[in-house]
Amino acid sequence: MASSKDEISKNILVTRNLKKYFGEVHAVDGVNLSILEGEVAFIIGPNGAGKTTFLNLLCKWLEPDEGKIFFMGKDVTKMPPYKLTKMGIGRSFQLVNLYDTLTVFDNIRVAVISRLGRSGKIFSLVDRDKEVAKETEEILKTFGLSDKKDLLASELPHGDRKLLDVAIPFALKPKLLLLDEPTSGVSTEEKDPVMKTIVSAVKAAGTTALIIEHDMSIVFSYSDRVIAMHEGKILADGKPKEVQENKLVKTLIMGE
Amino acid sequence: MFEAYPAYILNGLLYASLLFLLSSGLNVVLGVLKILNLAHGSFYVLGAYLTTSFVALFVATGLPIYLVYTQILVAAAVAGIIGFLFEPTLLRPIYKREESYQLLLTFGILLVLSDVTKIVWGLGAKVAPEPFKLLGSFTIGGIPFPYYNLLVIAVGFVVFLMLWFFFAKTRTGKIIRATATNREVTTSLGVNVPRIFTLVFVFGCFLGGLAGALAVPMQSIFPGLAMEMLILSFVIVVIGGMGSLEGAFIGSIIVGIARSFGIVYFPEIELAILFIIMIIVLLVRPQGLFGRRE
Amino acid sequence: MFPKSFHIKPILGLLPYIIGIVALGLIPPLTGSTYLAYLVGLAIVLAIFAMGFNLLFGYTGLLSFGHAAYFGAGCYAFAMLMKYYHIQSFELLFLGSVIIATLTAAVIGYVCVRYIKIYFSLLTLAFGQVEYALVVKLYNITGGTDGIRVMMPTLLGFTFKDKGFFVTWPFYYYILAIFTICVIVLWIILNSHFGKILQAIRDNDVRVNFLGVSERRYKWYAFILSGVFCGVAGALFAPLNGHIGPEHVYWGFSATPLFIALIGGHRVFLGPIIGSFIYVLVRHYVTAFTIYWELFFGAIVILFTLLFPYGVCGGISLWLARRMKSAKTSL
Repeated sequence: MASSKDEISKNILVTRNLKKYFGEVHAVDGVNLSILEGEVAFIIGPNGAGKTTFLNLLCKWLEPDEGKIFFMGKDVTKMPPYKLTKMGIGRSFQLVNLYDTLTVFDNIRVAVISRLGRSGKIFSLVDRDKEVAKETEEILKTFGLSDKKDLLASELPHGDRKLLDVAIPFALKPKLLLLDEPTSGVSTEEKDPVMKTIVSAVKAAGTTALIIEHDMSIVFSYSDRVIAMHEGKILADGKPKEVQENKLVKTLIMGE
Repeated sequence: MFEAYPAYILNGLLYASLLFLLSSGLNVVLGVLKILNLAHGSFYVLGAYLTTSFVALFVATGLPIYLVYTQILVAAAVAGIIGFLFEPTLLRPIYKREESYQLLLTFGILLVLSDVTKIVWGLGAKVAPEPFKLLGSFTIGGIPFPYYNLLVIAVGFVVFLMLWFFFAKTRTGKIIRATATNREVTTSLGVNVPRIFTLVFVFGCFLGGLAGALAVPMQSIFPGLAMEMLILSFVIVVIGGMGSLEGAFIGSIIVGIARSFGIVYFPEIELAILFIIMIIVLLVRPQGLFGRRE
Repeated sequence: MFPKSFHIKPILGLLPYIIGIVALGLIPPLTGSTYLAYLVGLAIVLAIFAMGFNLLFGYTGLLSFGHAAYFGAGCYAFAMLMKYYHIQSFELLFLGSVIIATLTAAVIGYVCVRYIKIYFSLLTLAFGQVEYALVVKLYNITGGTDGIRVMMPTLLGFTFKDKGFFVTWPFYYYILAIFTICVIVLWIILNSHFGKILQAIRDNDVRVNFLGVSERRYKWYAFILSGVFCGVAGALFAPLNGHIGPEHVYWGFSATPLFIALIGGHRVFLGPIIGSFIYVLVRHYVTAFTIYWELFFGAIVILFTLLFPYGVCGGISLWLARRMKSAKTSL
């Protein structure tokens, strides 16, 4: 399982022995992972397996206690989150986390403004910026939120809020998108359409994606690769069918 | 020179005791209700002013003069009652609101109380050293030290022990700690959270008032003192860690002793030493000595 | 009871602003009262102060309890430059004051933005009080509790006879001109790309980092900009008031832009401006009755926080929005 220099340059994301402790608890306990560009991988596992903590480490919301993270060939273990985001990692949140008093349009627009490097422009009226507006409209369309663009983020129904939560980092056109349970709290009928929108947008853009998901049927219909986590470690990693058949996964995660 | 040290230490402990009582009031409200009561200093001032009035009344009644010290408790209790006027009416509606509104509301209370004290007790400074000199003083290292000050130090220490015992060992204390950690869970367990909040808030005001009451013989009281006391208590909260009892205790001692020795060698440093310690803590260990990193 | 917020899109456009400026401009010729001009001038100056404060509060979500520190820095810089360096030109004094106020904001802000919410607010308060303590202690240069008298400097090179305590007409128009420029500049800033990022910081400061923006750095920029406006206000206030003192650095004075923003409405651009006029008016009448104006304003703060958190302008916006049935309209 040793990673080599080769591995770091070939894969868009490599983690080496990543660890995070909360007191006595080893939330993430030595995770070695390599993701190739363009892959859409799902992370599964029971609650407390360390999935969200792992994601939080990847985008630097949390500092790792041990281990390294390599993104696009660079060691980003010490990088502050905003710099890493600029490099090309975007993330959504498990508990919906929007700009509640801004409109749906503005929620996306701020991401576009940042992506275009225009956050510092003080003496330019943002409403006049056609390029920003155009990009924002495109993202809205991709996620089916165009007709709701003037609503406040807080006024959206839950399913749309989850979509918006994903659309925002997507608008950054990141190289790697980290999604934390994008369909949680969404009604069963809506889950599939929501995931479909997300995965097709991701695949169309060629973005690499790591998605945490609990709903197994969704995972197995949309994934190329499944990573099963348990107690901070990776239990199994491979094609959906392989992982499904894996003994440990069956007992510890599926509960058979 | 070294003979004076015990006196400096005692002075430091005296200041620490007052700081502890003051900041614990702020801290316990902050820890449980998650509200920073900007009016906390006002309760200190109220406790002080009320003491001067009650003492004057007491002296007029002609009761045995040694009982005058009870007026301290009375004043503190009244401060707590005044806190009771504000909590269910004004604070309860805003617990669910954004933090800014909570700060604004307690700020409004600060302004109101500021003028109320001016209306009742006037604009000038008040001093009331008299009855407290009764206990007399002793000398240590050649410096006179009133027994009253020893009493204050004792009170601070006793209150710390009582609070520690209460939160660690008693059932109500544990319930309150649980409420602090997770409001929703304790509500679903059938705990009357609003009542606990009221209780804690009143107690916080009581502690603030107690500190003010005890400090009466040692300082002159004026309305602007409320802001100074607020900032002082906040500094201790920062140093000790938000919501931490031990932190407030240790932090108060550190600041008290540092100030006591500091003003001997650098008299100008009095106010600055607090801020210096606070800035050092913020830089080195932002969650405070005993605080938890969120 | 209230919607969580509302989105501001001007419906009346520039009209209210133009009417307002013209109306203010007509006050001297129509009323001939220098006292009224002083009051209105004060309202304008406080409006600039409140606009600077609200850039941080209403738009960036940072509640500062020590903003008098930067206003006061502007005032004292003005007074001390005039007194010790004998500078008579208003323009030079203005420049100096704004620079010093901005530097003060830059330094204090650098430390404060590293902390969130409660800590931020209390730190701003603490720094404000430290500045107050310094002003009082260094009485040899600051005049201590007596403060410093400020004479009317030359405006664009011309000297106007100072009619005692009250403001002269040319200075009134000078203030009005600067105010107009401030309004335009602030409006552009708040409606710029940068302004949108600030609002995102207000709503969700941590998430902004995940947009690729250093939330801490942008908060600092906002703080500095706020300092500029406070400095402008301070520089106008010093000659307007004729006297400045430590009361202008005290936390009680820091509360003024806070009232104004709260009463006028902190989510509406016009809010601080309207709020300032209301404040001056109400304060004028209240102090005629009693010296206990803090009680009155404290009660107002409590009332507004509980019942009208969006202030007068915010309330009007909501009412207009409901009447016009379109979701977002405002002044």
